[in-house]
Amino acid sequence: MSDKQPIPIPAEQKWQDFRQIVLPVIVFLLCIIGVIILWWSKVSPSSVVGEARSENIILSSPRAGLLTEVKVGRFDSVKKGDPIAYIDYSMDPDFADATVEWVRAQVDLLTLTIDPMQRARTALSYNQLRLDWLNERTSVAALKIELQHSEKEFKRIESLFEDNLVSESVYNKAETNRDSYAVQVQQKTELVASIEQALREAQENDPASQLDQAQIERLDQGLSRVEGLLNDIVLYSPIDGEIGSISKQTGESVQSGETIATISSSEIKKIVGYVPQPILLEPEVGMEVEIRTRRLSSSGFFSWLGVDRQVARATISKVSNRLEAVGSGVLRSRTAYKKVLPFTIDLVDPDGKPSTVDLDGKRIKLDIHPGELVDIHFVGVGE
Amino acid sequence: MDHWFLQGDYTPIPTDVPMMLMGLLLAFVCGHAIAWVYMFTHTGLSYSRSFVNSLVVIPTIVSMVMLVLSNNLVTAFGLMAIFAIVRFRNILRDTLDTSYILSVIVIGMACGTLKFATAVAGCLMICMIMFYIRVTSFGTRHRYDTILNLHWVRPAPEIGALNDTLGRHARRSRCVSERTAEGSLGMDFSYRLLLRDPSRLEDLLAELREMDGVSRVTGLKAEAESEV
Repeated sequence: MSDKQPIPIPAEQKWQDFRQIVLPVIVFLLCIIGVIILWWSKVSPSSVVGEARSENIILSSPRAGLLTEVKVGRFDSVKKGDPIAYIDYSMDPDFADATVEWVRAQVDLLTLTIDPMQRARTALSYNQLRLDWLNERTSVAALKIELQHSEKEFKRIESLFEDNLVSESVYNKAETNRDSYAVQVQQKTELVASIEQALREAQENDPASQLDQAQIERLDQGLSRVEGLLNDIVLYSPIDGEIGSISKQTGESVQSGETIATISSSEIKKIVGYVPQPILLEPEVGMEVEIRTRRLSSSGFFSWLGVDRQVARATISKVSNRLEAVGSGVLRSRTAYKKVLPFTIDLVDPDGKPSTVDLDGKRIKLDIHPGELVDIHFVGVGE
Repeated sequence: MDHWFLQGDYTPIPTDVPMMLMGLLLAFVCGHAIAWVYMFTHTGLSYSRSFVNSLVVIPTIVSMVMLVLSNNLVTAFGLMAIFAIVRFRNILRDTLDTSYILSVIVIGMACGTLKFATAVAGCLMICMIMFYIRVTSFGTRHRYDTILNLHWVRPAPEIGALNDTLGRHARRSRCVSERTAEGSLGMDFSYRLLLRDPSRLEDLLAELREMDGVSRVTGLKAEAESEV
């Protein structure tokens, strides 16, 4: 054996060896790591898709009327009890007139049933006075409706008159008509007030006169309801949420049961999952699932790569016994069958806390919007 | 970053940029693996570095082609037409040249179909791969860089002395031929060497010439071989 040392490898040769042998291996391994990260975080071969759901309230009009004001706009946040819309039901003339006429008929009937002898004996008896008071209130209510109609008619004719489309006599007639009703309402209101004053005095002087008290009270309540119809009715928000859509605007008339607005709760309470056909795995109540959001993260250096999708675990709470058709947006493209087996995953406990947990078992709240799609994996079973 | 890059594609169905990057990266990794396998399993004289480099880059280009086509038959016909026009007037003998032509066509198509993010990502990826191939001289097998011929007249058991000398100068040595001639003493050896320091070939030759029983020493640098 020779004692001579091996020829030293020059630095240039070492660098060349590094470039040609080591560097490709390093680049290859780095690329594999990159692929693994992206695969782990982005690729979800699951064909089970879920859709986030929240409470959705349809606010509709109980009766026909006119929307005098809509207080909210689309996407406005509202709290429970916030006013949404004001509706003038007096614009439903048939209903108001019929109610007024019914009360008037009841008052007339009651007047006739009172004994004439007794009425003669106590011309200003307590009940007669109350009946007169009710009668006059009924007249005031009817006159107010007429006044509103004549007011609107006057405004309409006034605008036409300004455009020289109607004669002055028509304009004067409408004005006189309106003023006439206004005076009548004023006089009748004063009369009602004076009768009410007299009634109060008679009640103080003769508290024992209680003839047909119950009937009169009932008529009084009916009349109060009719009077209430002359005021606007306010529709309030039944939940905390956001206005999803506005179907009617201020000034539009609404029919009974017609939708005015929809309110969506911002809180996601459940996810509805869809198992497409062929159903390779039957979902069962209590089965654990992994939910993966599809949204890109808005923070972090690598957020634009979408490497930090939110992942949470939950359990299936309900499973449907029949297949349902769903929109094409939910299913993957070129899906052969358009019907799917739906199931639900509750995201909130009965006490209002989130029931979803992260991979470490810590409770987390999924950061998703109502209607957002998520991918679902059945944990521990092959799909 | 406000996801400005993610919104760079003006298409009816938004491009999933992370998935696109993953597709390009995975294509590169798979092509790289195939190229390595080809390098290590190839036998014969027709080995070509350019072809190996094409094996690395073509999967990425094809991946980008499919991203740009995205199930659009009209665009697919457009690609064929453009490639046919280029091919009609040019004879592309080198596979890597074809890869370059395909790259520029698909980048142009990506821009023309308003897939700007795809065009930028694909262009960067292809450029990086081409530079990577250049920097690493990818495809170079570089097993031996010197051919050494000598005549050995000493007894065969003493060949160890020769091997010691070769081992001191070369990282790898292989005796590829031994020739004996009738009526003459000794043997002609032909070695393939991968020298530790290629610039000191003359030192090796001088050392061998000074050895007893060694004559007719010739050395030939064979760095290029047939790897074109």
